[in-house]
Amino acid sequence: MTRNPETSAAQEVRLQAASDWLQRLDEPELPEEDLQAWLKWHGESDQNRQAFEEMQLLYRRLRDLPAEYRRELRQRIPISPTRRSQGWQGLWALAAALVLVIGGAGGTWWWQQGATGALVVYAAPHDQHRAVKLADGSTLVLAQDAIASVQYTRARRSLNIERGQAYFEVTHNPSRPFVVQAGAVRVTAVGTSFNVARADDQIAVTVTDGVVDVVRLPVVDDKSPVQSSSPAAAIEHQRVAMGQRIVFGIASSDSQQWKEAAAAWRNGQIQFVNAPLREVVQAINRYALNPVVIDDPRVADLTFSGTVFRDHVDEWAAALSKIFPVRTVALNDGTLALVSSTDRVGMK
Amino acid sequence: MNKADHQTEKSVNEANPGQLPGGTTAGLSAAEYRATVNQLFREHNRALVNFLLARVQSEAEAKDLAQEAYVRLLQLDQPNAVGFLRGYLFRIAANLSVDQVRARISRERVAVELFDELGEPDEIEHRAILREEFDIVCTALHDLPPKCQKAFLLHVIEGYSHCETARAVGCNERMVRYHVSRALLHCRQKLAHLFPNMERRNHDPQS
Repeated sequence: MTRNPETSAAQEVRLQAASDWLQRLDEPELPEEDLQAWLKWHGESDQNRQAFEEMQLLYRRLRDLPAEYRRELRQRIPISPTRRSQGWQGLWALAAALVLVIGGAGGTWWWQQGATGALVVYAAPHDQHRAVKLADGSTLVLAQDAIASVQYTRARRSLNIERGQAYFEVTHNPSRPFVVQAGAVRVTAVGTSFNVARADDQIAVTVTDGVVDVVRLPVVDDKSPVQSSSPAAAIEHQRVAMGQRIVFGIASSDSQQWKEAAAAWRNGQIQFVNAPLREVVQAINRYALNPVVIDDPRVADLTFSGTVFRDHVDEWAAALSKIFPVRTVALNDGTLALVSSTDRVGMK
Repeated sequence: MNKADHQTEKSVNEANPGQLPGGTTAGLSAAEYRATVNQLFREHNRALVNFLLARVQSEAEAKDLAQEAYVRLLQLDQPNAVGFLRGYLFRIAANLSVDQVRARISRERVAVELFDELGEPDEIEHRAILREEFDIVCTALHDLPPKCQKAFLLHVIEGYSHCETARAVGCNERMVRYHVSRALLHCRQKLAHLFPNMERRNHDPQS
């Protein structure tokens, strides 16, 4: 393969850009504008692509040094001692690295400085969910349109679900509890993975691994639940274990295994098991172009079991009349209303 | 339909196992959409694999995730202009290559044959470093100033993240990237006389 002759300065610039890109791409949270800029640069010319591939080869060769070479290198190039710590002082820098500007409709972020640790807010855009790696190695996955705030201090890892649904995989650390608050419900995990969904007055906690402690706090007013961790002050205190689900706000009598359901939505599907239509509609309205409303309590109580595909929500809604005794009525503002198709009193 | 078409048709159906009442959606037919994604593969698969290689450990994983990204792309029911689709494909791939999500994906994924009529993408000739090269690298690193050495060693050799490296060295992340790039370029320059040719075999007639 011949390479066209070129000034070495231009090639240097190209290789430098390639090396920089190589590092920038290796960020769990890759900003959209970076991805687009790289696509543009990489696609601009064969030389850019080749430079990228060449530096990538060298980089990986050095990154994957066999252990004995690594040891030898440490001896031959001594560096000043360094302590690798992920203590809370490092959280400022880590939080800055993790916070992203989300372009487009539906996404916002903001960052406040707190006295004991930065408060960082994450939001998922309307059309996809976001995975966030937290400073302690835990993972937060936000569903579409969900918003969560995170505040890590030395003693505690605190999160708040402002809106929507989030899934957590928690790094084990008994001396630093991982506490998620959603409305008046507080979930404490030690080293588990679980899902918290908040929609209006309804909060659902599903555990996919391990055990969490769930407490429903007495609420003084709508905005500020009593910040008491004393169990005596709590109205409800439950342990929820793997495969179990607890729902606050509506009576939930099902004892089905929801473990697969909690994982399913992250793969583009939403699974429902004996879920009343009111709950299904509330969940899918996050993804629907035309929101669905139910006025009729008979319809709201109908239970649905099945899978709705996140990208096919509108078709599902339009097809409801084939599954249930309902009629779908398109209103002027684009909303889809579900009405019982049985007009006679006494019929279900 | 030839065999390859049948297989990709099968994979489209596997990607959408739920029976949608009313059949497929308006817009592109399934065959047209598949052809569009096929074209994306031809034009951008190399870039996609390069992209994923920067984020994951091995070529095998990069190719695996690339294939998974196409599967998910085929699940879209409202495909738009190619420009948007390409961006979306890479965004899917970026999300798939996030550490924790990755581990879960590899457990759940079902192997699907896609685009097999195009054959394997280009072979990436990755081999371990040679003794001769390693010695040159050590000599090259000796030339560099202490901060640069430290940034390179911590990030590339010890595996510190950019953020951790920045804190340990006492600079910001942009400077870490600069130091690492400088070290890489210097090593490359010293190695160049050994290997003047590109080491990746090109099957792609467009390159």
